Amino acid sequence: MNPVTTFTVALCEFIDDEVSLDPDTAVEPDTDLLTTGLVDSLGAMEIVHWIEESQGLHIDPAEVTIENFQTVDRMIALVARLKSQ
Amino acid sequence: MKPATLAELVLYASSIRPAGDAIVGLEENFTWPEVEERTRKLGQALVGHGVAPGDRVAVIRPKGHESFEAVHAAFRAGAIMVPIDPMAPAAAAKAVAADAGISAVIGHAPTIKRSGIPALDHLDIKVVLSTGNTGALTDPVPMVDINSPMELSHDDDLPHVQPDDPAYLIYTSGSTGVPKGILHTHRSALAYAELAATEHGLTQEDRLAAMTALHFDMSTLELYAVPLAGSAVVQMSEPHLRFPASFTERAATERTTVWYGIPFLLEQILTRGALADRDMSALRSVIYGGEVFPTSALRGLMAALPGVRFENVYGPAEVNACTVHHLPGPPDEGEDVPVGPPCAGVALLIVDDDEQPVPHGEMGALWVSAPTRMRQYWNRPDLTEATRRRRPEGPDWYVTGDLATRDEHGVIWFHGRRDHQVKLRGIRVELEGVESALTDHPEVLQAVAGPWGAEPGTLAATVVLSDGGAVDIRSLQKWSARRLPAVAVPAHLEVLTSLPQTPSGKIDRKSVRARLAATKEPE
Repeated sequence: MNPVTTFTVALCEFIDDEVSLDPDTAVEPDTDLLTTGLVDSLGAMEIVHWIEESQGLHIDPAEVTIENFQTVDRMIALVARLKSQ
Repeated sequence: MKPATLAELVLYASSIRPAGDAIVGLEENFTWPEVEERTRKLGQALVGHGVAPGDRVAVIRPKGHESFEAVHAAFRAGAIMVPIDPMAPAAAAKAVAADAGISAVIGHAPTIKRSGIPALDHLDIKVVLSTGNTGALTDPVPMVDINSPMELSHDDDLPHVQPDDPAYLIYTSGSTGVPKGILHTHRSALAYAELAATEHGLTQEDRLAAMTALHFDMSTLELYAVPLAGSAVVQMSEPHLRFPASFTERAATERTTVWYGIPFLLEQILTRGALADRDMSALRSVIYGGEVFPTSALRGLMAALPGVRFENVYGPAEVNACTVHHLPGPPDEGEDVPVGPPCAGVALLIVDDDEQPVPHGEMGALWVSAPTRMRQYWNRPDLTEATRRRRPEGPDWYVTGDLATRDEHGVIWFHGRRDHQVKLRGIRVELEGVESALTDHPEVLQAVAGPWGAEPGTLAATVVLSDGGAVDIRSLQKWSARRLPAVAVPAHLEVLTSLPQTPSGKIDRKSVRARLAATKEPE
C-alpha cells in the first residue's frame, strides 16, 4: 500500500469509530458525510484536528468548507494540495 | 389586509411583495407568487388524497425550498403540520409520528424510508408526497412525486381555515423518553410572527439567514415572520451550519442582512468562519437565543462584526418569544447579559415557592401570559394542567420552569432551570430521558447524565453495570445514538462500580453531575 491509501483507510476508520453518528453505515472514501448527517459540527472539528495532528499541517479555517470535507476523498485531495504548497 | 391564519400567509406575502426574492434556495430562487402557487398545488394534492382539516402531516426533509413549501402546503390543506428531524434515529422519528398520529408525509423519499414511518402499521397514512426515487417505499401507501405535475391533482378546493384551528405541533424530548408535542394555533403562531417582525424590524429589504433546523422551534422566525414582513430567506443547508466558512461565504455572497441562530453556532462562526475574508457590509443584525452566549465569545463576535446590532431573545417553544434585549454594546468581560424587557402584549410574573410574586431583584419561577402561548401539550392533559395557573382575576399563566429575576428597570435576567432539563446547542434535553435510554441497555444498571464541562455543548454520563456485566464505551454510545437525538448522545462515558448516595438512599445525582461538569479538561 502506498502512504495515501494507508491514510485513506485510517481516516475512514477514524470517522467510523470516533465521529460517525450513524452506527449502521460504514464510511467509504466516497461516502457523502455531510448531507446524510453522518458527521455533525463537533465531528467536523474532530476530523480537522485529527488530520492536522496526523499529517503535521495546519488547515486554515477558510479551507474548512463543505467542498473540502464532503467525502474522505475530498479531504485527501485537500491534504495533498496543502502539502504541495 | 393582514392574514388571519398561517394558511393565508404566503398569499399575503405575494400580495405585498409580488417581485423579488422570497426563498433564496440552495439551487434556485423563488418569488413569493411562485411560492404561493407551489404551496397551493401541494396543498390541493394533500386534500385530493383525502387529507382532512385537523389531520397531522409530517414534514421530514432537510432544509430547502421544498421543506418551506411543505410546511405552508400543510397549513393551506387545514392540516396540523408536524416537523420531524430528518437526521433523527428511526426510533425517535417513529415515536413522534406515532404520538402525533400522522396521516400524510411530505419529504425526501430516502429520508422517509430511513425513518421507518410509512411502515408503522397502526398509522393510517393516506399519501406520501416526496422528491427523490419514490418507487422504493411501501406498497399500500400512495406515493406522489412532488416534481411531477401530472401526479399532483390541482383542482381540489382548499378548506377555509379559522384562526383558532390548530396549526402545528413541535416536539421536544420528554423526561421519560416519550417525546412531548407542543400544539400551537394559527392565532398563537401569527401573534409570534407579528411580535417578531416588529421587535426585529423586519422589512421587505431584509434577507434572513437562519441557522436552525425545521424541527427546532427557532425556525418559526423564517417560516412565519419572514413572509409576514415580505422579507426573503437565504436558505442554509445543514452542512452550511457545520462548516462556518461555507456559511459565511454564502451569507456574504447572498448579501444577508439578519442572522438568527444559537450561540453555539455563532461562536463557531467567530472561530472558524474566516470572517476577516468576508464582506459582511449588508449585515445589520444578529439575533441569538436558545441558550446563554458566553461573554468572551459574544464580545469577540461583536468586535468581528462592527456596526452590527445584537439582539438576545428568550422564550420557550410553548410561547415562542417573551423578551428581547437589544444590546447597547459589548458586555464587559465576565458580565452577564439580560434577556430584556417583555415584548409588547407579553405579561411576566416571577413567583416564590408559595406562588406569590417576588419583589424586584429576587429570583423566582417565571410565569408567562401572552397571545403567543401554545394551546396545549398534545394528548397530555396532565402536563398541560401542571404547567397552567389560573388566577381569579387576570390571565392564564404558563409555568415555564425557568428561574428569573426582574431588575428595577423591568428587565428580565435568566438564571437556569428548576428541573433536570438542559440546553445543548440550543436544544432542550431532559437528562432523565438520556438516563433511561442508557439504563434500557441490558448491561447497564444505573446511569446519571449531565453537561460535560462548564460551558457545555455536549453531555457526559456515568454508568454502573449490572453484576458481571461488560460493555465497551463506544458500543454504549452507538446504543444511545440509535435512541437519542445526536445532541443528547453522551460524548464522554465513564463506568463506575457504584454511585454516591444521598442520606435517604437515592442516587446523589447532583454530586455526580458536578463531577461530570468538572471532568472535562479545558481546551
